[in-house]
Amino acid sequence: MNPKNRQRWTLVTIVVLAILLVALPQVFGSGYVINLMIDTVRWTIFALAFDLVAGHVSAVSLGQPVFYGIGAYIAALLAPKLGLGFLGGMLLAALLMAILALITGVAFFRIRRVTFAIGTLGAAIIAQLVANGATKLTGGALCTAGIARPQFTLPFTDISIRIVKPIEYYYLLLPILAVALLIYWALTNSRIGRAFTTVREDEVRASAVGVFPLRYKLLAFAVGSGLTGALGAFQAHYITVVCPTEMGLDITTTLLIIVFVGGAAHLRGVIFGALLFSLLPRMLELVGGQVITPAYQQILYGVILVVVMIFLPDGLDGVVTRVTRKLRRRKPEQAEVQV
Amino acid sequence: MPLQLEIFLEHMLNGLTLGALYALVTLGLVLTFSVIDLVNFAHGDLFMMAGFTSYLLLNLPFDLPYLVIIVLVMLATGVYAIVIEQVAIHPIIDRSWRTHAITTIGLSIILQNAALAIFSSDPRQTPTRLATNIIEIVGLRISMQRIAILAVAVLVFIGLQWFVRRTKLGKMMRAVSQNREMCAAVGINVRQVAMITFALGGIITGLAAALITPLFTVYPTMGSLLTLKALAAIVMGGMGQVNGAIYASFIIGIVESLFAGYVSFALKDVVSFGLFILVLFFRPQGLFGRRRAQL
Repeated sequence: MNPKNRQRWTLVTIVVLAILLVALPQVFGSGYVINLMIDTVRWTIFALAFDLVAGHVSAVSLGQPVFYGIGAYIAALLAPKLGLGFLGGMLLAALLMAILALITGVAFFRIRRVTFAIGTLGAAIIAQLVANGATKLTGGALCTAGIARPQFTLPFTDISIRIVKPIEYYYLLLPILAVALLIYWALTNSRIGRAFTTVREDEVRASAVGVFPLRYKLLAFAVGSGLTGALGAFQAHYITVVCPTEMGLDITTTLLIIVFVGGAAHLRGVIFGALLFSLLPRMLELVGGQVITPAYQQILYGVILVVVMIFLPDGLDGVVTRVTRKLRRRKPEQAEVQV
Repeated sequence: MPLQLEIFLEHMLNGLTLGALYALVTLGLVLTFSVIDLVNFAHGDLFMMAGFTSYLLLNLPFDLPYLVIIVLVMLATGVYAIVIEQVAIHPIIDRSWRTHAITTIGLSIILQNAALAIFSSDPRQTPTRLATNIIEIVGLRISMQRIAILAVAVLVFIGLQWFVRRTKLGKMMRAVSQNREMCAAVGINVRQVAMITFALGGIITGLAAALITPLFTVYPTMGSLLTLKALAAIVMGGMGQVNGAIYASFIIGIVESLFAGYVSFALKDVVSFGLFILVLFFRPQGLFGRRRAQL
């Protein structure tokens, strides 16, 4: 396929996917489907943010639930005090979480990249302890409730829209997905993206050609965490309750499995992973009913993660790439035979 | 004020035994880290398995001597470690740290949730006679169990020094930690050394668990915090320096105990993480390390 053709196909794919995303809830209007779609889109955004860090600069952050949870608490507790609405709260969460990532990142990225994983894991464990313990601030295990529904006033009119129904939340989430995809695409398909790759593959060589590794690792970490914080703020306004469980370590499990089973540092793989692992719990529910408790689901996830790491280190995306490459390589040979 | 001094000393003593526990847990982890350069995020969960094993053995319908139980737990945990190594670590041992991290996190998820499915999330505790036997030394009250932990930690520490310096296997482990390719070239079976290191780490972990179960509760998710503290100790001790990690474990134990006594009991687990962050900011070469070129 020549590049021009490929570009055209990419454009067609994007348009078709966008139409599907917008139209599907209109066709299947049931609450179940809309819930599932919100779930899928939410995990896609979450995984894109995670992949910027874990995939593109190979810094496995085990602390994304922290940014998600604090983002949610910012929307629940801080934003109303400052008189900020839904959008303001989300931007505030994004900004503060990006700053937090920058500060902690400087410490975590010291020594080796494995200290980054250790540090972020520590942050995740400690944040949950504090959220559970600081009952005066967060309500502890009793949660913070009564977060306002998002409200918008249309410009130049007095018409105000209040988001209540799931389908309205879905259409509120789609622009966020678009922004996330745009940021992801812009960062990874540019000079910065090539710098990411260099830093990931060989930090010494990167610094030798003038690419300062820490700067790019911090950039990826800050953008990923800011996006995660914004998503947490959305989640707070969506379920209107924030609990310490929003920072649970099982979030990290799901992120790891989406990105590394799907295919790290590949947009296609991440989206496929998010789709797969948003659907899988529902399918398990359908097949197993009450038999499959969260513990068994987690065991299954753990097994998938270990097996994929051992046998398919590039994830499912890598498998697809290998298969298509093989098919493509065969074609010219057949052509020669025909001539 | 003698009373306040007494309380302080008691916190110190508790901290020392807590540090001994952390040192034993850290030892198993720092061994695999320094010898085969693998950060095992499932190490705390291995401790959890050992803890449940000793809980089950302590609650058998017939009474086994405590010493026999300790030996059984050590053997069982050694076997768990070998199985884990053979199934999950062996195939990925030559891959990047990222693969190591994700695989061992996957393992941790499996082990925690399997324990959750089998034992439920209730914390369990089994006091032994040693744990309830409290003696007084110069006015300080301490249970025999804690003295035993402290003594064992010191013994294990000395024994390991001897093992690594004097035995052929220990020398092989040190050689592998320095240059894996070269070892393979001169005929050392690196994979076998890796497995033995894992087994040794498992046996020490089993010993720690068998000693601790009578004092602390056992529950499925206990491993996460222990892994974190052991990893914090390793970083504080200077990434892979065994002795440094042991000293750091004692520091964590003592500071944690003092923090729990004087500041906040509920937030005591934040201490290890706080120390870890401080070390990363101000002494990234570790508390006892010399400054070297960083990558």
